[in-house]
This record gives sequence, C-alpha cells and structure tokens, in this order.
Amino acid sequence: MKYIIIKPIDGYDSKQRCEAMNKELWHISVPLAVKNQEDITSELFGEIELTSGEYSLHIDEDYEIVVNDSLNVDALVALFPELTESEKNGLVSYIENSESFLFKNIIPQGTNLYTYEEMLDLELLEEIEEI
Amino acid sequence: MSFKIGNKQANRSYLGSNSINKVYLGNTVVFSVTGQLVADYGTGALIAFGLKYLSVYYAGDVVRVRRSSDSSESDFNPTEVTDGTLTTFVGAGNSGFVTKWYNQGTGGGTYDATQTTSSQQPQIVDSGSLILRNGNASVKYNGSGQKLLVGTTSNIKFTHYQKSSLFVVQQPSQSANPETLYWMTGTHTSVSSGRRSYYVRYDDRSVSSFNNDMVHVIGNNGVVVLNGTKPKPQNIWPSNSLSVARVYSDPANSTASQRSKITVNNAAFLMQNTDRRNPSSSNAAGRLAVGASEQNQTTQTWGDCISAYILYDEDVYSDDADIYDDLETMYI
Repeated sequence: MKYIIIKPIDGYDSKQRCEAMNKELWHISVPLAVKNQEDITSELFGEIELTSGEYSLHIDEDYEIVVNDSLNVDALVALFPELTESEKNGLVSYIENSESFLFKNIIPQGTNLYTYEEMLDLELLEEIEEI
Repeated sequence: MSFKIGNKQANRSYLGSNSINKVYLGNTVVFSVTGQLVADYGTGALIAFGLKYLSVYYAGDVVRVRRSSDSSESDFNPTEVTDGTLTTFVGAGNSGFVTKWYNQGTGGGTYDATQTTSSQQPQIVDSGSLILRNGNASVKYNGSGQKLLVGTTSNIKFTHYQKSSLFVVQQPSQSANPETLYWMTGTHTSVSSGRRSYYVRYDDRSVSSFNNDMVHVIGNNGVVVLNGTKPKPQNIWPSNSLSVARVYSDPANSTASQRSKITVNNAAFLMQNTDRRNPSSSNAAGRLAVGASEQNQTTQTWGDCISAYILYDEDVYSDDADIYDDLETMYI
C-alpha cells in the first residue's frame, strides 16, 4: 500500500479532488447508472488527511479494477487537467478497451508514490508510537 | 435433561435474588434458560456481529457481501452463508468482501458495521471458498487497513465511560509468531490529540513485555494503562488459533482492580487499575472500528479472522461463565 498526495486544481481543493477521484475510480466498476441503492460501497481507496492539510489516497497498485460496460470516464478524466489531450485519449481508450486492469496501469506518469515510511520522513503522517 | 417444579418446566432459577442461567450437577448442565442465545444475557447485547444467529430476537440477514467479479452486493442469512448460496453468488474462483455486518443486538441497524471503501473491506470468500476457522464461517482481515466501522458515531460505553463487556471470537494471525502488533477494536483517536479511548490489541512482538498477549489499552489524555498478561510462557495464546477474548471495562469502579478485566479462553482474568478520569468527549466523534483500533487506521490492522463480536453496554460479569460456555460450544 502506498500514498498519492492529491494536489488542488481549479474548482477543487485537495480534499474535494481526492473524494471526487476516488468515487470516479469506483464508478469504473459500478457506474451510477447500474448502482443498486442498497449497495454500501462507494469508493475505491482510503482517504487520509495529512498534517499539511492536504489529502492523500492510500492506494494498492495491484488492485484489480473491473470495467463495467456502462462506464463513462468523462468525469474522471476531467479531474486530471494536467494531462495532455493525447494522454487523456490514451487513458480513456485503455480503460474502455479493458475488461479489467491493475490500478498501477492508469497512474499518470510522473506521479509520486510514497511508502508509509517516506510519509513519516516527510512529516506528512504522524507515527503512532505504541508501548 | 429438564428441570421441573411440580409439573411445570422451570425457565428461570435464582440464587438469592440473582438470576441463574445454568445449573450444574457435577460437570453436567441440569438446567439452562431456554430460548436464549449468547447475546441475550442481561438486558441484551447492544452490538452482536456474527455469521450465526447470536440472539433469539434477531432473524434477519447477518452479512452483506460484494463479489469481486462485478462488485454486485447481496445480503445473506446464516443458512445462506453456509449452504452454498453465498459462494454461488460470489462465483467460482472469485472473492467476496463484507460491506455490512448486520447488528443482531438491541442497538439495531444504527450499530451495523459497514465499509464503503472497497479496498478496506474484509473478506468472507476467498477464491470461491467460504473462509472458515475451526469450521466456522469467519470474516478475514488483511492486516493492512481492512476494517468495519460501527454506526455513524460511536457513543458506546466501551469507548467512553461506565460499564461494558466485550466478547470476541477471534484469531489474530495465520502464523504463530509474526512479530506484529494487531489492533482489534476501539476508537483510539488521532495521535495529535493524545490517546483518549479504550481499545483491544494482540501483541506478537517478542521485544514487548506483552508478547503473545491480548491487551486492553486504556488511554486518557496521555495517561495510558495496559492490561495484559505478563510474564507468560511463549505462545500461551498463539496468534494462529481461534480463541475467545473477554474484556470487562468499568473505569469508574471504586475498586481499582475492577476497572479493567481481560482474559482469553478459560484462563483467570487479569485485573488492572486504570485512570478514573472521564475520557474526553471527543471520543464520541470516532466510530467504533472492528478490525482496527480506530476508523482512520491504515497499517497493522487485525491480521486474520473475527468470527463473532458481542458488546454489552453493561456489566454481565456475573454471566461470564455461561457466556464463555456458549461461545466455546458454538465456535471452539
């Protein structure tokens, strides 16, 4: 399990973007159009508030995401304004043409992944000292 | 064997003014209260999670499961958990994850335990097979963030104040000496605000004086008390076997040694003084975690299974022997 620090973008602070990304990642498997109202699951990964006030996704690179035929990834892609049009098209094409994929295969190039120890070193998480 | 007074079947027995649930003749039970399950002692457990029925007053579904193949979810009762209905729903080779553990206790649905985050949902079916411990269907945690969270706010005596009684049929790990600390349940709040709650953990660190111990940790604004057994022989409670943990918490008790009591299986209770000050009201903000010590914990959560979890919002110590007897009969 690793951590991805979510930076704010226009219209979203770190927390809002983190929550939105997490829900849209879940919607790849269960789009709102097919979601049962009784279903409990609503997001993919844990969200952690950092000491900096920013938010982080606690991710599993090898988590297998099953692709639902009814998916629409427009909202997900819109949360990555830093991607070029070519990169966005590549991301959409990869997701839409997969039955399932590992999460690490859609992490944008240049994204920093941190271990728990690295997050402690950066003083973004506080260590729980146990007796 | 029945116990009759005249021609009438007895359904309650007393010693003085105390109600007795079982009467023994030697090692044989000659009387037991009929129509009562393990969550029905006292005024009834507030919270009772299991994959078997734990209360005669509950007859609904016990678990909601998400299958890995398409993330569809469905509810199951105890019969459906074990008769193949659940594994058929999940499908051959697939996995099933617990999204909701229904509360069978008196607290009702407010105290259901849920997990909305798919990667943090504990498992009940692995590669198409029901997860079993001692032949019992069990909920399995991965030790790396999987947990269930009770209700919307905790507001439970175990995590705050007054008397409570906790019974958990559990197995901390799949190996005997994993050199790890596992958190089972609690509302241990953020480190920045200090330890201000109670939680239970299993310590398997050889460097720890509590190695191989189930430990009740009582924290109050920086004052921390640990109640666990020490010193003990190595592996007296091995982490890779199913056992029954019982914790009685009564921080305001005028008798210091009665404020925390803990044991595993049939060992004598360990008793410990605790800080008597009421923990901060901020404890109420944390949701009670099952499989972790607090809702935001992402590392070193519970490492293997919980088969049953019963929390009374009262002291049922006078019924302890019967409750343990019931759990041992059902699970061990």
